[in-house]
Amino acid sequence: MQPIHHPVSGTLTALHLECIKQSVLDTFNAISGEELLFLGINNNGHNYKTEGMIGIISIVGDILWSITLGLPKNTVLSLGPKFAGFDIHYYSDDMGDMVGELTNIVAGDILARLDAIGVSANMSLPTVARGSDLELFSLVRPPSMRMAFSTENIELWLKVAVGHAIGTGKAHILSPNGFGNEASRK
Amino acid sequence: MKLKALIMDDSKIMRTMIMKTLEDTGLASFSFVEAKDGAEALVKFDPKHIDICFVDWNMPTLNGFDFVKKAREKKGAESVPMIMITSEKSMGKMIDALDQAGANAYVCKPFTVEELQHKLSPILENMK
Repeated sequence: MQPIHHPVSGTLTALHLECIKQSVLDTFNAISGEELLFLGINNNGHNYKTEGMIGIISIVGDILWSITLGLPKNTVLSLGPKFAGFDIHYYSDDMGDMVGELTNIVAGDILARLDAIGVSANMSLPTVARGSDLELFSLVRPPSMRMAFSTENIELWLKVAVGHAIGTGKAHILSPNGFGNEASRK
Repeated sequence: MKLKALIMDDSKIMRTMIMKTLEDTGLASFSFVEAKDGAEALVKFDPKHIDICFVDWNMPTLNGFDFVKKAREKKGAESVPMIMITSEKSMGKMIDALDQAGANAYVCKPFTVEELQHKLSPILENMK
């Protein structure tokens, strides 16, 4: 029997964005015990350029995304005891492990929500970096959008870059109701 | 009840969290063997000396799904409970782990002491 090949969708829809937003909210509400607020997409008022850590995971299947979870230094220090049950030193391997796990958990939750709406994909192992003003660049400059979140004590962001299979046209992010901004690139 | 548990996860902090949470459940007196991936776990998994396994899904070298399948081929392994503890939450993955690989239970990260107690209690009850 011939395998069935589904085309890779290079489109990020309102439904996808809702999945991503809810995954971040549910994951960090559960871990922090606080109510996380969604601050919007590509919210330039949010302080992205700060010292902190990022976790990166690729999602590959019916879609082709790269997600980056950004956690400022104060946020990861605050999350340590809540997530692991003990303080985690900022400059430690344990902190890298924690950020990797958090990225993993968010990505796993996103995949489950996508699966429930008929989008099948798998995720890579996480890559973690620590530094200041961290920003990922891709040679093909895929369209991307960034969601910002905060509570009284923590702030974080999640960036999604949308790829597409070579030769299948452009990738783009639709401007859905309630999500404000549009970002697309031909 | 004394149990030797094999804890496999590529994240050291997650292994520490699983071990601490297991102790906090109060369901048994645990001693631990750790492995950072499925391949290392397969070497350390001796059904005569390991009573229960806690298995992450996404690990380098050999993932948790393949570990459970391969470990089940060892003589005496069929009676060793294998608990998946993973961030993979899709229904399809859960069904694969339980039906195809032969895992006994599925716990999603992040997890609480109560959730682990709930999943483990019937399994440990069967081991008595």
